[in-house]
Amino acid sequence: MKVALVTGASKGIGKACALRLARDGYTVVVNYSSSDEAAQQTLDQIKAEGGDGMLYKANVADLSQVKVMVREVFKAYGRIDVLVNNAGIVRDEYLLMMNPETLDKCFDLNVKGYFYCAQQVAVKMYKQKSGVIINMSSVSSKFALPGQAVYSATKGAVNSLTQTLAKELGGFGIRVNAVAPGFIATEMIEAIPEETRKGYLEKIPLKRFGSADEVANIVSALASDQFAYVTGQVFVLDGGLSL
Amino acid sequence: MANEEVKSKLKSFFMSDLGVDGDVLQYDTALFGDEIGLDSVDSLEIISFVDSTFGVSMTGVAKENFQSIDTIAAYIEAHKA
Ligand SMILES: NC(=O)c1ccc[n+]([C@@H]2O[C@H](COP(=O)([O-])OP(=O)(O)OC[C@H]3O[C@@H](n4cnc5c(N)ncnc54)[C@H](OP(=O)(O)O)[C@@H]3O)[C@@H](O)[C@H]2O)c1
Repeated sequence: MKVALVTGASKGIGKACALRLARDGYTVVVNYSSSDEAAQQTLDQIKAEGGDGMLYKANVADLSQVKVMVREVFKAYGRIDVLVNNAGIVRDEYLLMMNPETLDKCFDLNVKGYFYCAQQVAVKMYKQKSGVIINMSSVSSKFALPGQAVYSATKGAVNSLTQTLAKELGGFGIRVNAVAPGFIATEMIEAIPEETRKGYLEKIPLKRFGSADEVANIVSALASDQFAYVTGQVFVLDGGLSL
Repeated sequence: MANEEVKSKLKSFFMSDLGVDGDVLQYDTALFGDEIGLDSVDSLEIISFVDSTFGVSMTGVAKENFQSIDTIAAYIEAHKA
């Protein structure tokens, strides 16, 4: 049995990754923090397609909850092969409007949450001498958009921690990579005002937003042995936006 | 598990998995000092061993707790479920 833990898997990109990994044969832990119904739908769909898994409600920005979650998952399945650090939030604010709560919220989830999950899961993967960690970054880590300083900084941090953890953990059979999507059609994008969205579309050479399934394709590939020699990399999929 | 048993399990682990000389290793010997000379990579081994053997998480725990078999055993005793 192979086990994948996907954080923020009740919706959007995380949900697509959970479904895809289940189709790839992983038993999938669907983590989420508040959307009970949506999370249940993810698990129901996994099961309807013949897959298996469990729900785990936990706020991954809270180390104590992450510790309990990883312990419980390990108790249930005895291993964790893949961690997709995906749960994240975007809060666009121009520098002069930025408030400390935004800064804390974004860093607590998008950065500290990734560290907490990676740390707790790495202990288990270390024992197995194998494992894959995939961090959801963003094209915003490489391509500056006014108003996204906080979000970009958190995703820049994700790229850096990906590289360092890849070096730290490589010797123990653990690979760490990141995926940096551009605009992907999820609730996160729906929250952007129509006019701004149109403006973004014009800037994308492929003239469309990406789909969560397209992100899941890369996650699936990175988790597989096909990519066994790849670690510490950030894969951009943005329809050419950052060119 | 009695404290003595925890210490003895830890000592066996240091000898078999980390190649520490059993004659030099006492329960109060400094693990990261000159005598034994473990490094930070070894601490990952220790954390993993303690996690899987005693079910106690030592991630993020202050360095002082890793000083010797005595201090690790004390931490395990204080935190086991
Ligand atoms: N959409 C894009 O265009 C895009 C582009 C680049 C990068 N990304 C990145 O991709 C990731 C997913 O984005 P998305 O668009 O799919 O977001 P989304 O649709 O808003 O979904 C976010 C997911 O994270 C969960 N979540 C939120 N806070 C959490 C917490 N504290 N603990 C555990 N789970 C939590 C949510 O579950 P609950 O509702 O149950 O809390 C939900 O399942 C993020 O890291 C984002 O930065 C997205």
